[in-house]
Amino acid sequence: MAFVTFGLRSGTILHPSLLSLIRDRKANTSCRYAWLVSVHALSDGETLGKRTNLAFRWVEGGVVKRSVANAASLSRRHFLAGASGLGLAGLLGALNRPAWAGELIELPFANGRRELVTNFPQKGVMILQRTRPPLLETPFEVFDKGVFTPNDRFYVRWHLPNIPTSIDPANFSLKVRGQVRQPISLTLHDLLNDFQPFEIAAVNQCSGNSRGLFSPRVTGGQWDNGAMGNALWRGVRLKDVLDRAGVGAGAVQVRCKGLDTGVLPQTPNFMKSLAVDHARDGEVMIAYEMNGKPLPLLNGFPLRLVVPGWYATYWVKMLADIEVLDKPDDNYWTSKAYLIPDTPGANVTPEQKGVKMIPINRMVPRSFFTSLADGAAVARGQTLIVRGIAFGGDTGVAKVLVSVDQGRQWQEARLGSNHGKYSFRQWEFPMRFATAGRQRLMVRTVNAAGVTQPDHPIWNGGGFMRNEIESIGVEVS
Amino acid sequence: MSIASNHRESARRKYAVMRAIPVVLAGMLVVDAPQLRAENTAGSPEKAAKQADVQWVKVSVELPVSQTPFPAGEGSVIANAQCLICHSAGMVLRQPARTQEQWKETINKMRSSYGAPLPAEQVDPLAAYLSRLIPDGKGS
Repeated sequence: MAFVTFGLRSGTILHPSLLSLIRDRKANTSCRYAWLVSVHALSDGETLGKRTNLAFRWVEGGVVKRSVANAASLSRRHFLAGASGLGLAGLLGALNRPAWAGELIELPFANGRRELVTNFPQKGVMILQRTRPPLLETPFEVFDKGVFTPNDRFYVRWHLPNIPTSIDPANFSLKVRGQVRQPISLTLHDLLNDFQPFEIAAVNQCSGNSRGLFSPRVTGGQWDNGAMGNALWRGVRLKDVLDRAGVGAGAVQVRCKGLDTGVLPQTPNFMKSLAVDHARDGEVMIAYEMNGKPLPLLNGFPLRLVVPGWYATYWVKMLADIEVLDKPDDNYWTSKAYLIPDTPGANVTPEQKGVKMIPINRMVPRSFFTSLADGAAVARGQTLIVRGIAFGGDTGVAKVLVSVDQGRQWQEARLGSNHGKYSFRQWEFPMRFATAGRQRLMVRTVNAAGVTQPDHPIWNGGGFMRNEIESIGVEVS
Repeated sequence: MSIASNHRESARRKYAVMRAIPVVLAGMLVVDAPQLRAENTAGSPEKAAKQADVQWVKVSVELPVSQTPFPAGEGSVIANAQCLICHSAGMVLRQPARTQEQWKETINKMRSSYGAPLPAEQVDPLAAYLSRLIPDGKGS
């Protein structure tokens, strides 16, 4: 018996039904994810014989394991698809095919072609940046629909691949330990009933939002501008939770850890720390609701730290463990990752060496056009309300300014309703385009502290904190 | 979308402010953002009572599995055996074009910071493969 294969080659991820193969051969294995390492260089359409050896690799208990099976050991049902002409690879590929397969979007940088997908749980159409661990970008038109980003369109960013996919709130608890008077463990019921609820509208923005636009390019998630979102967060103040445990006199930092872990035991757990005074400022909170609903799992269900005005790397998802430290955190994610140059606007040249590096912290102001995309066609002589969003970073938006003459003159836009200083703020600016041709529009915001956006792009090796003045071109005809 | 209708104001500002500019400030209208349901309860006295309304149900989801291996080529066996341990291939395939030296840096970061079990002798062949994978010349 022989089977024709299509697309079955090194790296092919195994269909879950084939994982039983591994389970059968290795008792007590509970692998959920395995891939082919080699299939003796099969090409499309080649015959897979009974004697063909298939080498698999999978990860179990943090150790990469490897096994070889020959095709004869595959149970007959794995080949039924082959008999019907689909081939083994047809079976492999049958699951998890994105519903929007084939729908592509071209982000405005080299190698910027991305797939639009709908196959992530609790998510609508998203831009696929990475499947595992998930990186999903919000398509930019979503930001034109309102000042709050819908939960099912809110961007997703995970660092580590082992993300619990089943969470029972009845069994969930949040621990507070370390330099405290009394270590505590709180259930969700405790958080809901024993603490004063707290609500705040705040922008959550990835440190590397817009990284794909850096020049020269840098590695990391190659985002356009959609690795951000604004939500109304509801939960409890971190201060109140810390006070319940009683912060010790020698406390220096508060370290937060979620439920996600690496595959390998040597991969550092994702943890982020805040100074004790920051953690107790009455604004940093633990959210159990996002826009009036429990958080989507991929945004941190059931609990997420909310650090208003600070980059999202601090907003630990699936928050389960809070440790009060008596010395500065030296874990990888706080002390070595997410560092920025200690220069104005985190800006350096690619050649600059020996710059002091510090942990990324407060956000900087940004503003965007949302009702018009770059290259949009507009009608000459008609009045058009141009619209967008702005946020002030670590404080509110004071004003939004629009320019049509390369930034020589700036006109003040009208601001929409104010949802607090950490929220997106909508702006509108009526325009009439009198002459045909290409027209460049620019927008910038000035925050309540008087900080505005730079007119030149910044650069740093991490691709963090981009916030230059945005501009779009429109074609008037 | 609302259209500004104040033509007199438009005409006034046209000459006073923006004569040299082919774009005219025509009026000021702002459409408020739609109110979210959740906002209606914000700050309301029955806030505490609302707590009981939060529905905590068990959430079980299935995450998609990437079907994309590294493209065949010298070194792809290493990439498929090593990189896929922790992340799907798409993360790599969507990076900008980089030199072999730059890829070497990244691979070594994967080894030293994240514990990738990649043997030292595979660093160069993998870096060479990755530098060929994403050709330059697509723009910036």
